[in-house]
Amino acid sequence: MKRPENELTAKDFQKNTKTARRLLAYLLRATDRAINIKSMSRDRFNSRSGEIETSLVPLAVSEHTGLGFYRAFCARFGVSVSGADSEWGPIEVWLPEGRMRWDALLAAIDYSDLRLVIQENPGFFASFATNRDEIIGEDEEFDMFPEPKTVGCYIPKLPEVLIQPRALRTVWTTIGPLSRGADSKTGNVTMFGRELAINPLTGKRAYVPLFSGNSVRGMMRDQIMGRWLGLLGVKTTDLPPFRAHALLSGGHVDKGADGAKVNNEVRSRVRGVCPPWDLVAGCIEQQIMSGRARVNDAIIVCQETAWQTYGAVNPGVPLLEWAESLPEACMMTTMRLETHHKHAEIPESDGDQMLVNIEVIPKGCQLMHSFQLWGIDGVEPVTQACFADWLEDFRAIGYVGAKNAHGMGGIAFDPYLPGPGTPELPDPAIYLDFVEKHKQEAIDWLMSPKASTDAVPSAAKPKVKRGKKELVEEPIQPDAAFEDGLL
Amino acid sequence: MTHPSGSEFMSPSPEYIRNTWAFANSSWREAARRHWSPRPTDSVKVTAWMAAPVAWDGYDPITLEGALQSAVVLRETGRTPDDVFVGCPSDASLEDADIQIPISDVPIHVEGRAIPIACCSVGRFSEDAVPTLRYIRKRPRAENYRTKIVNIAMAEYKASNIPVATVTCTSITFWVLGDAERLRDLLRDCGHLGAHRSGGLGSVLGWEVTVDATSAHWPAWQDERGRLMRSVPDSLCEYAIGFERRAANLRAPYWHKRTQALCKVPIVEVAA
Repeated sequence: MKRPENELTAKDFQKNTKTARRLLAYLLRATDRAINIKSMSRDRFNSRSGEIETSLVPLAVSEHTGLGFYRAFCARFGVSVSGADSEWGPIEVWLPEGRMRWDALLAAIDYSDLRLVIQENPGFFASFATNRDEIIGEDEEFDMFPEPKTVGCYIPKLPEVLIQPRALRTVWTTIGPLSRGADSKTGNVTMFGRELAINPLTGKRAYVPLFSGNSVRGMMRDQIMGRWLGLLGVKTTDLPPFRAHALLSGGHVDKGADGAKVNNEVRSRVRGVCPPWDLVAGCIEQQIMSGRARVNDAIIVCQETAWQTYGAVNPGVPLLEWAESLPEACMMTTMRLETHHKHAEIPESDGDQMLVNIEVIPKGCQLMHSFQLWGIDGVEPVTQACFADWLEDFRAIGYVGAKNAHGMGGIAFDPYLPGPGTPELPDPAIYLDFVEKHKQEAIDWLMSPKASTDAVPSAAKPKVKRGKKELVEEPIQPDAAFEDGLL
Repeated sequence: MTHPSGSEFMSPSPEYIRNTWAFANSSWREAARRHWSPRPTDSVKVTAWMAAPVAWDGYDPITLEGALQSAVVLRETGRTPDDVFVGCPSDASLEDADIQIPISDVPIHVEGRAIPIACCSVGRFSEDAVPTLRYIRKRPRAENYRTKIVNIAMAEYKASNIPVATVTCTSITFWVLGDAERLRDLLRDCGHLGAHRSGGLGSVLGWEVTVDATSAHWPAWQDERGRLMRSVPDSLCEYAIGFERRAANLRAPYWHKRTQALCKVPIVEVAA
């Protein structure tokens, strides 16, 4: 391809997603061609498409401007944007209709569009950038890609007054970086999970960091069961494994549990003897049960979610004004660099030394969170008191998410307040008294075998051994980790 | 008593009837009928403004009646519906197991039996709705179990990461003929729609209940363009559009096959 004669500027382009996708693809192609093969190993050079693919999302997330993103990208691949390492001058992008200097091109891209198209498919950019020869007609393909977000397609009229479901709400403020953990890994970067959300004020779609209610519920289950067992003075390793599994992980659906006879005795006994179970429930002894607690997603306070959060966070300010004062969702995360040291000086050290990047919500951000007690009027006072007790405990612990041992996930919040029509929770002392009075009954239940094993095939029809050693349930010595606490 | 075939058979004894689930639960069901039957029949538009995506597999539409029935059970008994309905035989008749909600019904004869069809449309997603995906993770706390080895890859302690098809939208709307005041009251206990509610899916930010006193036609079953708005027996809504013909259930709870019949089921679309 010959150098185009026509010089383009940012004003020649309309800022939108399609423009961002096309210009970024050509920019990365130009950058790839500026990579000096001598600046890296041949293996790395040959596999650079993979490196480009895995580096794009973390770089787009960790930087907050187009210039910053491109600086970081060029630094990673040893490219001088000013052309210091070549005789050709600053990097120039060759488009079919003309040429453009890299900085003019970045000025034509909105950064939220850049993030959106990168998160849509980083592999596309890596493929386009590293393709050896231009393909005839490839530029026309950009027009065929659908828009990943729709601008102004539907803007509903938001209601002025809503009937709020009865719930308890608060607003968390992060006092340390918040990691969600367990999302997709991009290279050596663990990302913060995102979910598509719609901003009804603008009609735009965006990927908003997601802290799901299910993850809060898992943490709640751990803490509330741990506290109950702690009050009883029982260790989880003292329990029959099936019961520990039910209490701490919700149990499993035995074969036949879905069609098994409903055992009223088991159901009422477990709800009566174990108030935390009444809240989180699960499947126990072939009984699939519903918990009373419904744990909602923690909604991060940003422009896209302003319509959901303004009533809880800043009710006095008009919605539009409030939304405009907030950052966009794409600006709500940053990168945290951690290192894992090999300690090679220690003989037989078999660790790997590596750098690990974790995408986090930085400290100072806010998330709106709520719980609902399903049919709160009929929830037993002891169960409500158990919930109140745990809320106090949760506030005192003040950690959510992953990497707590690394100092991440610290949050601060005011006590959860009942919404309109929601009764106050009772005094936690009711729960503590109950546990004290029914201690022996609870321990007897915890240590008891399964109430019924009718439909458990392993119990009814023991399988013929085929030479494999059967795992036998037997007590193990509690290790030091369990000496101090339960979990 | 004589069977239509001519043979005589025994009617159930009073003692048997007293031991049935229907008899044991007749008092609260009667109270529910008194408290929650629709007094005035308003044309009500119920909009759920969503705080989270709703779990929806694209097959059976989202409905409101089941959520309202749950709320009635909780209000009247203080217990969860799954606890209340333990012992209820799966072949119990509608008369013995139906739960009153403040939505009007129209009894329709289907295959020789009268089934009350609720005057309530299925949920229609707002135009900005988009299909999404949510993963629901579950992991065993293996280090706390009293076994030497916990296999988290299979069997009872298996860790799971289950994808759930969801729809992200700003609102879901239902058109109802029913009692607006009672609906407003009951909806405060309906915090979620769809499945996987305990982990926050289908969480409702708030309900908007508006009464339209002027409308001559209310699209609870069929809208003005003829689009079908809820599942109806195949014999009804002859000139409807926007439906598929298949077996479906006509009365909440819709998972129960008690009222299964050949139906016209509305097609609910979500824009890509």
